[in-house]
Amino acid sequence: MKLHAIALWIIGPLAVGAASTLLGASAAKSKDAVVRDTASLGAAERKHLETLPGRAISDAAWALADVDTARKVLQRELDRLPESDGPARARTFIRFGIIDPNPDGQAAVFSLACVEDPSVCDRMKEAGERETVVRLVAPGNHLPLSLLGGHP
Amino acid sequence: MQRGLLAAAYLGAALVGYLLGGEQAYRRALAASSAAARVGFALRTSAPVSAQLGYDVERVREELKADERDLLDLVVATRGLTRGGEPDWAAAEAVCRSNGHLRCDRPALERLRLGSYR
Repeated sequence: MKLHAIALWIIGPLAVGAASTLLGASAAKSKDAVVRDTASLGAAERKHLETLPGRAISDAAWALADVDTARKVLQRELDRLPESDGPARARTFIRFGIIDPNPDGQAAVFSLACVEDPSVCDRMKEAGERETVVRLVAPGNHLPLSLLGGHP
Repeated sequence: MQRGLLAAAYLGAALVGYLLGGEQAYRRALAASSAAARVGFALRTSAPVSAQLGYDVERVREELKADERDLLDLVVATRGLTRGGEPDWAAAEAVCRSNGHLRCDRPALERLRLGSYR
């Protein structure tokens, strides 16, 4: 009789509580897709995602801001980007070069981009065009002469 | 009377278990990624609906310099990051103009929304 009471009053509610914990856990997983899906990614992917807000900020500055603001934000992005992210660092250097008023400065910065991402070395003009298209204000919304081949 | 108490004990256990289980699982998922990673994830997907994202954007914002905060606000408004992917063009234009950007017209703001993040 005593065992029956223990099962009924203690073990039973505890078992129901434990089962409900599992139910609650699975319901919470589907509560917020962004939280759930981000948590399910690997560490390297999550690390990469952490760079995206900075990239979006830099892209916004590149698209709309004056050259001084754009340069400041590009510099901060460069400081933030890991050495291992060569293509992103190269893109940032190309943007720097495009808004550099000095042709010699442009050449120096483009060569840094080439070091960061060797795949752009032979296609610097195309890489530059991709960046000038997304800059919506001058200067920097047209290819510099050094990339057009018009500079001696 | 006793039956009522027993039913209440089971119901209470079920309710407490459900709430505790949910809270623990959610906290574990939150702890597994940073606010910046979740904002990055939202930038990568087109129409995120997340109650957490508003807090995460604030956390990311706190880490930024003043001029970058304004740019983040612009990104958040054009992408509708805290509105389930629905852009807030009026807010975007207001932020853009208050920062003195060179272009704040709708086509320019719409171009911001088009950038893809992989």
